[in-house]
Amino acid sequence: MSLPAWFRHLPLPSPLKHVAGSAWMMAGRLFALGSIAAFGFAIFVGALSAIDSIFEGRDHWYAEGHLADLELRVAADDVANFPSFRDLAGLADYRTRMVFPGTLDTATAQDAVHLLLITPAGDSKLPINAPTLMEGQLLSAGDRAGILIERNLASYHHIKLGDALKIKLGKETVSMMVRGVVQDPEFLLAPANPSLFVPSKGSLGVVYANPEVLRERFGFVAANSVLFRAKEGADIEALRQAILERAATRLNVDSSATRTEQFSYQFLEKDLGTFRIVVPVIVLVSALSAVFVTIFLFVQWIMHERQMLGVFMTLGHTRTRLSCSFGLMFLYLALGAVLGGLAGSVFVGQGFMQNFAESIGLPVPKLVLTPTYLMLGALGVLLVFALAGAFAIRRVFLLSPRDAMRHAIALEHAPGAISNWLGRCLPTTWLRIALRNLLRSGKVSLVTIVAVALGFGMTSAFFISFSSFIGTSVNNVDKNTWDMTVDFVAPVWQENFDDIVRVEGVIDATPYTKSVAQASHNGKRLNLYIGGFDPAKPWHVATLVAGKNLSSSEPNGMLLEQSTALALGVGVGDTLMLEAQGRKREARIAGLFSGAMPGEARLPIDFHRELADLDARSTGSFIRVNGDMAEVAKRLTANPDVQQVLSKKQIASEILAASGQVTAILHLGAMVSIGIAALFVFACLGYTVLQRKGDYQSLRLLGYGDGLIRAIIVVEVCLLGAAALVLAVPIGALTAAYLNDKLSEAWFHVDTIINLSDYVKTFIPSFVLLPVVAWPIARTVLREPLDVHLRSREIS
Amino acid sequence: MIDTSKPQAQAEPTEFIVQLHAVTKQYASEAGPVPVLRGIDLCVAPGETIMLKGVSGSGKSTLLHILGAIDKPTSGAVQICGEDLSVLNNQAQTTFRAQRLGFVFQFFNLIPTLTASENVVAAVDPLGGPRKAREQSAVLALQAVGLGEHVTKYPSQLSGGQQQRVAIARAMVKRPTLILADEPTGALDSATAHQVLQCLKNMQRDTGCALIIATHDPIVTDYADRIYRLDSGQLEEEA
Repeated sequence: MSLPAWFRHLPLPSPLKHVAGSAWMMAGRLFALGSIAAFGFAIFVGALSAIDSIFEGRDHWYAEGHLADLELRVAADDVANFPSFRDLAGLADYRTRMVFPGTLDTATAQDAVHLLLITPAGDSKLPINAPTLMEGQLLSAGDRAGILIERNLASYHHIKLGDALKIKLGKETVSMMVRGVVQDPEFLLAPANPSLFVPSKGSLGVVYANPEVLRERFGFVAANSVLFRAKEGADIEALRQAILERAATRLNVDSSATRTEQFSYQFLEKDLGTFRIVVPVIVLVSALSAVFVTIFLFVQWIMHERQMLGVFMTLGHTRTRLSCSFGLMFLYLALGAVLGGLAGSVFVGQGFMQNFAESIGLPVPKLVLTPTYLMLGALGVLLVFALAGAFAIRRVFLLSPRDAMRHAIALEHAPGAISNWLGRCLPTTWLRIALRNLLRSGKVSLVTIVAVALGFGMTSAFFISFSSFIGTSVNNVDKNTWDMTVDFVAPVWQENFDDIVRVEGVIDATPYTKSVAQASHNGKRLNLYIGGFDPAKPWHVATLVAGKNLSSSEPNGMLLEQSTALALGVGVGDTLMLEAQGRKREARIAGLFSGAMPGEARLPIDFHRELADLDARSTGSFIRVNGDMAEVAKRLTANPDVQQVLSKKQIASEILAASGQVTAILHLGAMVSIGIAALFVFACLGYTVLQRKGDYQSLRLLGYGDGLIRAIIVVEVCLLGAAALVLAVPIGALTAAYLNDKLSEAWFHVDTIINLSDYVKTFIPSFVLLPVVAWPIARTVLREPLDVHLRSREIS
Repeated sequence: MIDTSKPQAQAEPTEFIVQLHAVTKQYASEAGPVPVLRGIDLCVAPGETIMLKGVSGSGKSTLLHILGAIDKPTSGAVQICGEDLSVLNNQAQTTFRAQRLGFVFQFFNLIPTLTASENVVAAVDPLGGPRKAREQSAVLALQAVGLGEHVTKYPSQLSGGQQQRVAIARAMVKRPTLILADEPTGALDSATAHQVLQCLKNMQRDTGCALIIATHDPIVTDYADRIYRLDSGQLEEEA
């Protein structure tokens, strides 16, 4: 690559002009270096801004839809019996509604979708939980045959405008037509059916109808839910207390929940909170590697310019002036990286946001790059280049003109005994050259190997983390001693339970119960997904992190998911107040476990039945099977009371689908780090090999053909790369362990599981990458005419 | 001594090994073409030693590069052993250098990661043949230049004069038709320079090759059969 003609017309001081020319000549490597920094910037700013944008989008939709600040759930009653809350201090408005469970009737019981049918029971002056029409039209007054469907029901179950639906409400089935599709701020995330063993996204649908649909059923306008909007700045807790006291005078209160206690709110906080922890870790690892590579390349650059520095010094230019010339180039490179990173962050942010939102059923918000992250990212890039630049420029100050002017780049010492012996083991001269080149400049080769190993190690780490995440999820399911789970359409009594589960192939069964409840402790409240299991049949194994398992001797014992415990401020031995269906019961925390879902909890089945008003009913069963599981599943699902039958493999898939956004970010990290590794390889190996350009030119002079020269360079690059891959093995394992540690803090406990295949996924592309990287390096050597090289006297 | 099992370089059918006729070389520049060589005529017989003198920028290196199949003339004919170098492509030039030419430079151009014998073997590697034979030739060549006890040493372990003698052995081992030396004594003291030049002459006598030395060093005069001066791109023989 030669300097363009216009370059010499640039009105720059001569040292700066020379440094700029030098930068031009190695534009490829500097571009690679800048891209590494830009990548890190893009991930940091893009991903974190995307997280902020999602939260802001959520808040915007809450505001747009006027999401209630508080919801009160009561036993269904005539709305005329409800007390008035209007005079309560801090209350802006309220309205009543009926939330009625139903099922979307389909050809088979297994396809049936659990629904919530919401009908208004009273008006409010201010809009509260106002759905936004997305398609079709709102219901007109008196329309008994029309319904609106929530958008997730439309997308997860492929229901559209004009579809005729059969909705089962209790024993009655009504035919309704879809008039419109709406977005409800209450259901920003795809709702999940809490009575299923794995409450997967979209397993619960929400529909809206006019109150006439249920009036005939009850004989009056019924309501079981009151939504409240607080005044600006009102004390929500005080308002809640006042509401509860007022409600208790006339109604049977089930539960109350503020906006932040809603499950979807907590899920989003936890999920995005995970990324807020994991993304900086990814960026930190990239940044450390980038600092290392940047120092390496800057030092190499300055050493390459050593002679010219000596010339300038002898001409009277000061070291400070020369340092500033390099410093300015470093600054331009940093600014270029920031600009490139800025463009990249839009791409990364948009991709992350789209991926995340779609995986959890959230609408895709608008991306806004957060100024704080932009500033921090830019400062980070500048800091990396400043540190590396300072380290490199120090070299300038250590040079004397005499040392700098030394013409011959003499080998300080002969190749050592090992290099000597190893070389002699090889049958050809060109292989010896390649191997001994690797060993001759030990420090440079080592630094190159470490830099490249960091890139490959990071890539492996992401694959390992990804596999660990999946492996842990699968192991957590595998270690259970049941073979399949059976979810019922509705809770069943014991006699029905026996009829359902005793089919050919089932050798044993134990019931379980699932429901939601609210937990409170010292003023903190959270919603819990509770599972009730028989302590005498501990088939469903928990990954305990503290305390002990449920036992028959502790009828009100409880296992709580560890991050939920942290949020409530409780530990082993503490008690929690549980509320469900208007009942309150105290539970004692026997142990903490690592779970995949926020709010997971386990109780002895009898205790849970009592809390959830299930009497002796069960919502599902674990079964042990002897024989063909698929056949047993078929027999079970033939029963109209069975909603679904899942094997361990299917459950693991459901859990992974529920955590799809976490695996997506790990995959994204792996792809990005492969790109960074490629840039590392190109930037580091380019310099290391081109330092020995003189040797290759000498060989050309002796009659070595282009093919052989290329072969030497490719072998040298591959040897360096192979050494880097070996070092990448422990780097990958350690980095993965660190990543998993952070994931465990934020999500559920992830064991570091290292599979050979995770390294193979890195190593195989690397073995393809290395010769590809070597090719342009070889081309640079071969493109230089021999006579030009001889005139430059850059000899070995 | 050189391995005599290989036949010595024989005189080509034409009288001269090197024949240059009306060779010119111009380089392009923004101000227009810059002539470096203007109508060079030169003939060199086997066994002859030619000294090329000239100030810096006179075109000595350019002429050497053309003779060495490293560069091509703008016009004119360049024949070495009857081979017209101007029609050779890159691959053919490389092969020609491997088979016919030897080079000796001011700063030796040895490969630092190869021992003295490996550096010499590197010159015959492109010619193929059994490795043992090539290694044996290398050892013999080093012995011929008086470095038989230093075959396993690396360039950094040798003195300047010793390194230049390794370079000479490397140039001579394949029994080339023509040796081109660019300031071979430039990095050496006077005594060592004489040693090296004598070594070159001895090797030339053994192989019968032609030797062209581009140099400022006056001591080369004593070793040259003919002396030419390059001045303003034109070649003139000095008495």
